[in-house]
Amino acid sequence: MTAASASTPRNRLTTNPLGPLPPLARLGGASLALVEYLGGLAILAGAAACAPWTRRRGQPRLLPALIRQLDDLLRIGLPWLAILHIAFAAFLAMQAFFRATFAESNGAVVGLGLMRSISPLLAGFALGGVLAVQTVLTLADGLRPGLDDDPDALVDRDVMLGRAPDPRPLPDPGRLAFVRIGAAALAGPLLVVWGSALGMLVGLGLSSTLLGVSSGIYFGLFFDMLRVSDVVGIFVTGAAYPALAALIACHEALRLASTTTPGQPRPARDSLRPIARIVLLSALAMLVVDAAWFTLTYISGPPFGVGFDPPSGHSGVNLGGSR
Amino acid sequence: MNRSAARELRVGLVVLVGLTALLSLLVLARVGPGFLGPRRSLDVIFKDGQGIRVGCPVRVAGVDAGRVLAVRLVQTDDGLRVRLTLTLPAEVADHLRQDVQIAIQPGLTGQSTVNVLSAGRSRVALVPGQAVTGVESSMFDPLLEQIGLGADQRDRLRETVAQVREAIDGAAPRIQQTLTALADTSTEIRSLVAALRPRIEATAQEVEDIVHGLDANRINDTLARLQNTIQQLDTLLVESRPLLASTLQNVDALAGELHGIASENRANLATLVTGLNKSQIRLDDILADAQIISEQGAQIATQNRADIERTLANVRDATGFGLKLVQKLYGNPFYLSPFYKPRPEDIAAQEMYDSANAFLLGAKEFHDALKGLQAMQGKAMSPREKEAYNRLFQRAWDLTGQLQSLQTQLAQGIRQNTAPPRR
Repeated sequence: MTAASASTPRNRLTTNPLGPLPPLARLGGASLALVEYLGGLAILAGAAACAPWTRRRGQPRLLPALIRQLDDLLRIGLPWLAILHIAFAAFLAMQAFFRATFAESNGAVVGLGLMRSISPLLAGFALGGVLAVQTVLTLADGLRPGLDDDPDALVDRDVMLGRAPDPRPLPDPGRLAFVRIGAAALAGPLLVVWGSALGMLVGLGLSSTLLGVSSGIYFGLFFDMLRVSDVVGIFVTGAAYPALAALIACHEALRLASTTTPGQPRPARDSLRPIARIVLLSALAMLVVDAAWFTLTYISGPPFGVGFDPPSGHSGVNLGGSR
Repeated sequence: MNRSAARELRVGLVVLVGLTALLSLLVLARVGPGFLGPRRSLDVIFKDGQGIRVGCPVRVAGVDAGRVLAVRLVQTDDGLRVRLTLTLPAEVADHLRQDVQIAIQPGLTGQSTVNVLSAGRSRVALVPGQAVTGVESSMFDPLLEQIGLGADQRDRLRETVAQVREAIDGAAPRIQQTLTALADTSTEIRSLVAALRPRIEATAQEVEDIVHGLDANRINDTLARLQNTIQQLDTLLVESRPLLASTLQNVDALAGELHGIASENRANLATLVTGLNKSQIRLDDILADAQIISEQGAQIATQNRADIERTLANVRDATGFGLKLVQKLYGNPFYLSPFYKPRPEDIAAQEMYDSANAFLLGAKEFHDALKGLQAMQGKAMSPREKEAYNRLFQRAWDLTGQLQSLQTQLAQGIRQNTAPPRR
């Protein structure tokens, strides 16, 4: 372990020259580390949110960098999500084949199942993995000038050959995070729509060939049961899950970058733990957000109840009138 | 701890508080609509939970308004039941009354819901913590309601069946006692019939003998006579029908006239009726007096019956003598003259007249005897009596012939003796 790494907060709390810490001290240290981790995430999210409004000389432009990042994510995400959705849509469509549901309801089962939960989570998980690897690999060797620059831009010969120092400043962590979080938030809904549409077609193919369900019945029940909250959910959860994964990836990568000695390459093994942490933490965060979304959208209903008008003559509410 | 770490810790604490608040909100949100407002819980007991689970929606007027908070089994007097704890917005729960109707509605997809079918019409609201009994329902309730067998109707039917069963249970001992008494009575009747049977058979035999002994010819004659009489009556009725019709018309007209008279003279009639009432009172007095007099008369007649009868016989003889005397005077007006001196022809005619009167008296008595003899013909007689009767009747018949010839001779003798002398 390097001296720099020993000076990080986490390492300060978990190493003791007097010997192993007692369990209570370890629990307290872990709690403080968790709080510090959450604080670091929040500070980074705040910095990323403020990035478009902070101008710093010598920093790459945000929009081209964001587009390049988005391009990278879609190049990997589109085929990956297609494969994942084919598999999951087929799984859902086959539930009717195994008599777990009605054949006529396959359109709603496949379409709404994908849109409400599976597609956003699949997109989040997939992009979380992509972002974990990409971000850690990009930042593992430390921050350097021109990190998010256009790769086709011409660089000074002396700088490129190492005969002169790069005059450009180090990239701002907030701007780096903004680009990745923004790209992930844009790529997420696109991938969810793509995956859901492909999954619907796969489900229709299986339903018509294996179960004899017509396209009218398949799409009819789907549209009958489609809610506005389902469409909104595509964009909210589809953007939130990859964005969360990107935030965690940036935080971990920046923490890793802060421990890197300039000019001294880091062994690849050191990057594995942050990558694994990114994948697991981002998946956990997605599940928590998914549970919150599901509870607040589909279970809880209006927070202050259904509107209850006071009785006014004959137009008053009669609870017993529905019998 | 450097400045950056301290800053991260401070922000981390804020984030942690935010996450805790979010988790608390999610826990609160589990109770359903209105989770941020005041809520009330309500316990409902069902016989059949129909797979209801914690978190299933509670619908009021078909809209999600609450959640099932807890599902527990409870032991009641009627056996094991399921007790649901529902949570509803206080604003909605305040409208539920003592006779609230709550049912479980199972869905085809397996998701059951609790439906508040009726908030109730009672004036008394539900008391917090009070358990109400739910309405038992099934997946087919909407169909059953269409044919008039909804939950309410089924409840009423169930109550009716329970009442009938209760009534039968209450009446069963009495019915059993009645049946026992009937069985005892039938046994007694059977023994009584067995005892009476010989007597009844003997009576029947006697009746049969009487029937065999009846004279069929006489019955036939009687029937023929009856038929003849009926025919005569029919004929009479047919002949008299126009007369009856005219009589009825007259009566009708008379009734109309009487009605008119009564209408015109209502006041007079009222006076008449009043007078009649008075007359009735007087008549009553007179009748009472007459009754007293008649009682006295009867008493007198009873005491002096022999004298009266003798007096009547004397009067009868006197009237007979008077009648003869009148007849004599009619035959000879000079009979009363003091200078009258009957001739031999007059004496012979008088003797003939007396003989004729005596003959007529005897003939009358003989005629009465003959009628009595004929009346005896219908009476039951032994063959011997019958033979004596026939003999007597034959003699009487012969005597009748002799009397007729004697009557003829008498008539000729009188005619010859009373004929005027030839000049």
